[in-house]
Amino acid sequence: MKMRVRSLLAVALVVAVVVGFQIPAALAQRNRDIVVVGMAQEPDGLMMAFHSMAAGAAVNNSLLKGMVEYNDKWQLYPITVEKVPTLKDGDWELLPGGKMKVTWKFRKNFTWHDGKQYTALDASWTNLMLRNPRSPTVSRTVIRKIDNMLVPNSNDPFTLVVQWNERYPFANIGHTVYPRHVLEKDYLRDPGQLKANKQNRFPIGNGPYKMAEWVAGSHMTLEAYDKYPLGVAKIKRQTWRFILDSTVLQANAIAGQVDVTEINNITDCGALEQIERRNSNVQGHYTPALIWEHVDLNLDNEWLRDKRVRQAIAHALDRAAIAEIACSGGRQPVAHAWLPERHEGYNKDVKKYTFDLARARALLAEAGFTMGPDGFLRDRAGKRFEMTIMTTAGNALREQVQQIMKDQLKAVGLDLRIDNRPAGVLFGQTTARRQFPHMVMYAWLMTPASLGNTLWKSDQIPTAANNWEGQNYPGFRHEENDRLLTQIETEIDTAKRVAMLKRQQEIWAEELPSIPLYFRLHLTTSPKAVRGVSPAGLAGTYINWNSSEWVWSQ
Amino acid sequence: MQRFLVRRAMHGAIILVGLSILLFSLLVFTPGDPVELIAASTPDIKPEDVAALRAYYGLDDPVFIRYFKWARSVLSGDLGFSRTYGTPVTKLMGERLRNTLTLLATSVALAFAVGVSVGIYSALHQYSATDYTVTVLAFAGLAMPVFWQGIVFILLFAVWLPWFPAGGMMTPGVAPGWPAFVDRVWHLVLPVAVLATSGMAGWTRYSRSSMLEVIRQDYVRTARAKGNPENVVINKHALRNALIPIITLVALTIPGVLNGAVLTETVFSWPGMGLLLFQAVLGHDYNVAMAVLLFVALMTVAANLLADIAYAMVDPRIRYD
Repeated sequence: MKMRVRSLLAVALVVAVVVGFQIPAALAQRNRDIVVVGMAQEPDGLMMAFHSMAAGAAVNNSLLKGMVEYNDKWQLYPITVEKVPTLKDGDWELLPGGKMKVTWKFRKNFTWHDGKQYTALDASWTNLMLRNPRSPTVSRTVIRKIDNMLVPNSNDPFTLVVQWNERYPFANIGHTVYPRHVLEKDYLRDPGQLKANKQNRFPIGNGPYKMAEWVAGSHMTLEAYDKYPLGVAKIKRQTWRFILDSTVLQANAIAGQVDVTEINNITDCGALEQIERRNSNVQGHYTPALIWEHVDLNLDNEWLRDKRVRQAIAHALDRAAIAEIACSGGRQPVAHAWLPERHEGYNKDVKKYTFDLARARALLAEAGFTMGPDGFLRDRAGKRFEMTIMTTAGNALREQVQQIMKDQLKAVGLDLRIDNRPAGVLFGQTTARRQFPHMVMYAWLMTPASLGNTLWKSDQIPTAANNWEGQNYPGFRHEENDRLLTQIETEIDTAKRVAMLKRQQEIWAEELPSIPLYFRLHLTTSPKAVRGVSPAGLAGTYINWNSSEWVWSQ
Repeated sequence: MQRFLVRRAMHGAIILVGLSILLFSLLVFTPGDPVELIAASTPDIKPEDVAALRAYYGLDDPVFIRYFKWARSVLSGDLGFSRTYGTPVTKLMGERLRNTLTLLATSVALAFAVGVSVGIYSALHQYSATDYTVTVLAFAGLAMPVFWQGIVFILLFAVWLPWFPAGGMMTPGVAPGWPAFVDRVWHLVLPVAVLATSGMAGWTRYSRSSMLEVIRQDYVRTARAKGNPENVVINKHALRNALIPIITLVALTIPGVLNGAVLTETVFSWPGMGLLLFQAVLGHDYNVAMAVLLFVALMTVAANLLADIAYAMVDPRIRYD
């Protein structure tokens, strides 16, 4: 018996020694030819016209380059085309009858990862494929504005003419382009089965990295494409690891087992600071972004229909303090309307609602509320002043803000009840079908092309009658606001568009259909030793937008 | 015995059909669906696009039609197509099942070996300092939630003491062959330790009480009275009898360990069935969620049947007619 125990111990020791020697060998595989990006999502596919997950869009920033893209200054720059069309240069023409024509010149040195030439013919075919009602295209909103996409000269496959059937101010942000030679056969067989095409899981792209491996549930590996015409990526491999739990992702960043984090579900600067403190090789990026944290008010409610009540709620909340909870030091600007300072339509002169309890009480008194015996207000009919606020269950930061709001609104006599929902339910039904009785807290992620027409126009209030179209969840109705947003949608002149957006902000801030809280920072990390990382903080433009330029410093 | 097995198999089939209806209904009636998720993250989507997507994903049919379509497809051996992964569910399950079985087999074996040994040692030294320590540790092991323990282990053994990886199943790019095998073992240590802990605690308690019961039996006293050495009394007379109820429990713990695997795999990003189920439920990927849930149900039914058979095999007093 003793001999048997000793033998077992000896075997265990040998295994331990062998494993011990092998672990450093495994670790040694992580060298400076590779950068590991960790994110808290796994893409559901990589043909983004058929999907909507941010994770897929992020990986695509390395695999599939657009005709033009936004950079970290939020400026459009040409990638697979020679230039961004402009009215001034004449390659963007306004035609009679509200139509437009935009001419694009494709670069001749771009190839797909299988070596085939990338041309304007791919773009025009992609447009046909995506507009086919049998293709699983997520949104055809922009496609419907296009009459046709042509390659007018068969001898010149690098010129694309896009004929628009209506004015659209962002006709210069490019179009989705997929490799025709990869997809056409399956498309002709059955457009409905295109999601099963290899392109969705193992795409042939045109970007600085090409797909090497996707181990479902674990990671994907991309390798530098040696014919990328804008400069071969300096780091040879990019690995994307899927770590769904944000806390575990942070632990990986601290342990140095992921180099970069993106789509990390970190909304608290403290978490990023902790990573930096615990791993001195990591640099946190606190990037101003187009992420607007706010509380939508249901304007169909008898109390919230009254502008004075909405304004009183804004005055009763110390929004500057709320903005400090996640990121101290004034890094997250308090929102006074729905557009942040970096957006062209930002208006610094809108009405501001400072933390002023006396003003809040006065407004509520004007609205007919009187104090009840329990310290909470009563309306004219004697009904107790109580409201419900909803948000994404499990989001610790928003739940903390709710508690603060509850305390602060109690001071003016409003009893706030908390009733949260899982994100899938909150965004699937509660907001989209306006099933929140009073308030709902969440964030909108916007781009420079966001004009607010789906958010604030009265025909965008989701109802059963309009088949739940639109995102005007508060139910905001205002004649001048509607008129401005209709004009903004088709106004090509930037100066005029900006002027109208500023006026719209004034109206919005006066009417206050939502309580603006703050503009969130986009929080990401990268190693200090990797030079060239410059997050943009835009939806659709992720930390790796320029990853071909990243380089490990010596 | 044969009649018993046929009867139990038929019961199992009825249970599985009932469960499939229940699970399908639960998934479908959970608020939200895949198209709502897509629409929520696509601000400019129009109702006509939403309608087209609903038709594309077959969400327009009444629930019972959807169930019958799904059931017909399953009965013909086709588990359907994953909306999320764009691959057949059968292929997806095959890859993930191997990873889960690796995790389960290792953790169950470890939990059983350590738990039973410690439990029996503890029973043989009842009321000693070791017994009290083992009891306290066993209750602590049973009380610790798996997800919390997982995060604590990651902080302890991957962040503070960087001995093991903080999740994942492999180091991307590791050379194939022996280095890849060692790399897998290295990644397996923490999730196995977490998943085995609660199992270990349970086995310790079961085996301790079973052994305590057996060593008080007359036949053990008789064995001692006959002058047998203590190790013969324990190993030959007590241990074998104490193991009878424990062996039958092995099969019954499988469903519980599968449940634990959902949390362990999520915390450790271990690409197994548990993580797949978690992602499928969040993403309203009905075909995948149904396949995984039914697999767990099938395992539970099979494990119960196995427990009955094992009981009859190890205990000659049990007969099934």
